[in-house]
Amino acid sequence: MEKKIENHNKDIEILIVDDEKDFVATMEFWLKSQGYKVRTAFNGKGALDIIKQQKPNIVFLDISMPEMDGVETLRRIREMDDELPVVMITAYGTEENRDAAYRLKANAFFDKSKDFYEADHIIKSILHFFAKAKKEPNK
Amino acid sequence: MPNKDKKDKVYLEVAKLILITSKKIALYSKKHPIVKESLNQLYQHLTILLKENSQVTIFVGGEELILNDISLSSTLAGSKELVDKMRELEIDSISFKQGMELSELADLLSLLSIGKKLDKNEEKLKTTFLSNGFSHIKANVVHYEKVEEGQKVTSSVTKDAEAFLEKKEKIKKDVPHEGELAILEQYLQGQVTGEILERHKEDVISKLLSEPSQLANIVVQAAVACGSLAKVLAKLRECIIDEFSDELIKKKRKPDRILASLERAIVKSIDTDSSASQIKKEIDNLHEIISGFDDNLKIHMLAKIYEVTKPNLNKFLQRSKRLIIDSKELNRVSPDLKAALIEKGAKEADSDVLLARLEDAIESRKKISIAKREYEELKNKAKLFDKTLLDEIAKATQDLKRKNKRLAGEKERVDTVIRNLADGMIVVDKQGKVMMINPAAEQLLGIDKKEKIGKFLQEGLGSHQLVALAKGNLADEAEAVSKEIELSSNDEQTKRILRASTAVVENENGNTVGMVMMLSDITRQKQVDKMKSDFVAHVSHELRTPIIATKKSLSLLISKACGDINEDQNKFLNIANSNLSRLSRLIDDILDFSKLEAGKISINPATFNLITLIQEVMQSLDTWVKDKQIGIDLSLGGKEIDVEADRDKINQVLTNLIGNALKFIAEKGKIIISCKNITAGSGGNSFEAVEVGITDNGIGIEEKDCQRIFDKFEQVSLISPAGVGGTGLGLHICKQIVELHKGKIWVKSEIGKGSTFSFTLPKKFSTQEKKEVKD
Repeated sequence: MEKKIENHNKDIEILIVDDEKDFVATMEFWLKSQGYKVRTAFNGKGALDIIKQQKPNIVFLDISMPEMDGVETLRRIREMDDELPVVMITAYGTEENRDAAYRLKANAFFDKSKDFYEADHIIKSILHFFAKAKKEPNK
Repeated sequence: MPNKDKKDKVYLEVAKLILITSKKIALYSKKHPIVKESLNQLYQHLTILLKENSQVTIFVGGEELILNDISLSSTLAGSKELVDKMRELEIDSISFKQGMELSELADLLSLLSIGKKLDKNEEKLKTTFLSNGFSHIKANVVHYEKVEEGQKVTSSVTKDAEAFLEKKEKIKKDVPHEGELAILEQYLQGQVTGEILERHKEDVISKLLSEPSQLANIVVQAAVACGSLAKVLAKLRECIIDEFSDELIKKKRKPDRILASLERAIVKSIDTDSSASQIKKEIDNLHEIISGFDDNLKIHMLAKIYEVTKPNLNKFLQRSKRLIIDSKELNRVSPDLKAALIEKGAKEADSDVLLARLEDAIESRKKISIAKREYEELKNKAKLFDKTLLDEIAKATQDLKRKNKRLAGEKERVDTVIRNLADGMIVVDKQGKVMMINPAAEQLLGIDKKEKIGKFLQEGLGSHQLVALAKGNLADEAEAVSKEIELSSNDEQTKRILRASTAVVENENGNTVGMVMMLSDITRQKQVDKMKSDFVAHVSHELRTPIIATKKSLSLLISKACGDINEDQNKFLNIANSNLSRLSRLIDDILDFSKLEAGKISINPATFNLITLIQEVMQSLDTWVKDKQIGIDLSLGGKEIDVEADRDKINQVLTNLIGNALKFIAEKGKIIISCKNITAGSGGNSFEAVEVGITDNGIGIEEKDCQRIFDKFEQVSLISPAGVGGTGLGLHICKQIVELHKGKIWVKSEIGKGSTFSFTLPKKFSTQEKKEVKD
């Protein structure tokens, strides 16, 4: 059973961007335990560098970060790629930024305080949606 | 008495001719035929009269012209002119004697020529006439008598006159009285007879009428001289009745008045004369004696009047009614009066008629006098009323002045307060025109009071500055409104935020007369608010970040993602994890609460399926449900109930309510969750809504607490099973969230049986409400 999951997730690369290194560590560990490929960045600039190098399948982007915050980072990402799936990591007190993120085509929101299973669920939903979208234009 | 009437006519003719001739002489010369004609006529008339009388006398008495006892003033037009002329020439009387010549008469008349100034010759004539008279015409006859007595004219009076002159010389040394009054004094003392007095009665009476005090003096002097006031007064009475009554009647003087003034004068005279104190006691009798005078005098006078006016009843009544004061007096004197009238030739029946008519006349006069008195009283009342009114007005004016002053003082105080208010104040009228602006408002809005009074506030102001001020029809805005105004400025430093609280001003009838606006500078308050909310956001982030990291780490260990753990390790990791969750929830509640308090919670409405959400919540609580072996009964009305609401906030409400049920329920309890479509509101305001109910069979809540538990920190006071903790903020937050969605939340409960928490949500989120929340 575990092998099967690993096989499913091993080609999926996820970028986690958050200035909270401890949180990033736990999330990275958990996603890796689920078989995903994980890369991490601790600020917007680092994230943009990684995305320029090689695009991940999904970006988990913390909405509130010092210096370049999540919304600004998302805006820069959108300048490069309009369709890259980005999940905004939210926490209490960051509600005011949600509208801005929506407008910049953030694909989903993940509450930090929620279980990591939810993150897994979001990943699967997005990938499923994109796979479907790719097939449909051909029809 | 036809003879007498004829005589009257002749006298009247004589007087007329004197007047006419003197007027003619004034216009023409003495030798002019017209003058001559009337002069001759006068001369003939006078000659005829002088054949019958030893002398004819024209006498000025008071304002009247008297010719040989006949008063002419009432019948002769122009007599006043003659009287004035005689006065001017200092002539009291003119006497014509037998043997008078035409030239003498002509000289006299040229003297009397009215309106003409005296020339030199005439001046000489006047002096001659006054000092010596002409041969047969004399001025001021009394002097003439005195002077001429010894030399000329034979008369029965001569002897008495000589005696009088002797006496008079004697008296002059003792008393200061001159001439006629001296005679009166002597008469009163019994020194001269009534005959002598009668010859001077005209002078005596005129003196008596003009100066009763002199008469009084004489009476007193005489009383002192003979030692008896009563005797003197009796003599005076005799004198007045016998000698003067005719004259008094002619002069229409009322005897009672003369006597009253005389009485006063006598009393006064005696009072001031201490040497006369010995006769003071006699004064008591005075009034009685004078009253006695009165009656007798009146009877005598009435009889005399009757005699004079015999054929003319009306004339008699007219003259006589003035003499009688009232019918009482008439009754008193009527027997004597009747006798007197009969004596004068009246028949008894006639005299009765006369008396009856006289009584009527008196009564009618009395009525008039009563009417007069009433009129006087009314006049006095009117005067009093006027005075009172004026006093009242003056008082009222005084009061008003005082009140005005006080009000002015109060206004000044209020003005000063308004002027010095830190907050801006603007008063506008019903149309929105500015009535008043205080300096603080001027400063806050950067406007000039002088330019704004009487104009609309918005005039000349940027609309972006003051959108909220005096907007719309005032009458529509019945309630006080509070709005924030941002005064835009390019410079962030000078940017100001004002709070404008407007209240409608009503008069006592409840009509809107204007609006008062208070402007407070809340820029600083806003800055503090922002700092506070920034702080909350910061703290929430800072508190949660380590908790989340810790929690994630624990979950990784518990989920054995990092390798196997033994049972004890698992147990303690779980304890750490659950306490961490509790800490996390506490922090969430506190932060939610502080945000609600600051009005900082925003609703992000989206349409979602409520059934799905309930299922998700149940799933997240699944572990807890299984642990406590709770039976869950989902009674959901269908598979899909879409609502427009903030999904996360409703999640929070559901988690909180279901979590509470789990918390307060015993193991193996039961929870029923229901969800159904309803129609909320009423009438035209009804709308589609959904009602969610969570029923447990837990410990229940006392009825008195059912409302209270939605207040802040209320759980603390409730009986809760050991180990169940919380901030007591959960239900309060739920209530706030539901109400922000325009829904309702309530609880029905019974102790020992369980509780049902219910809330409703409108299916469509009202954007208007959302706006209000944000504001």
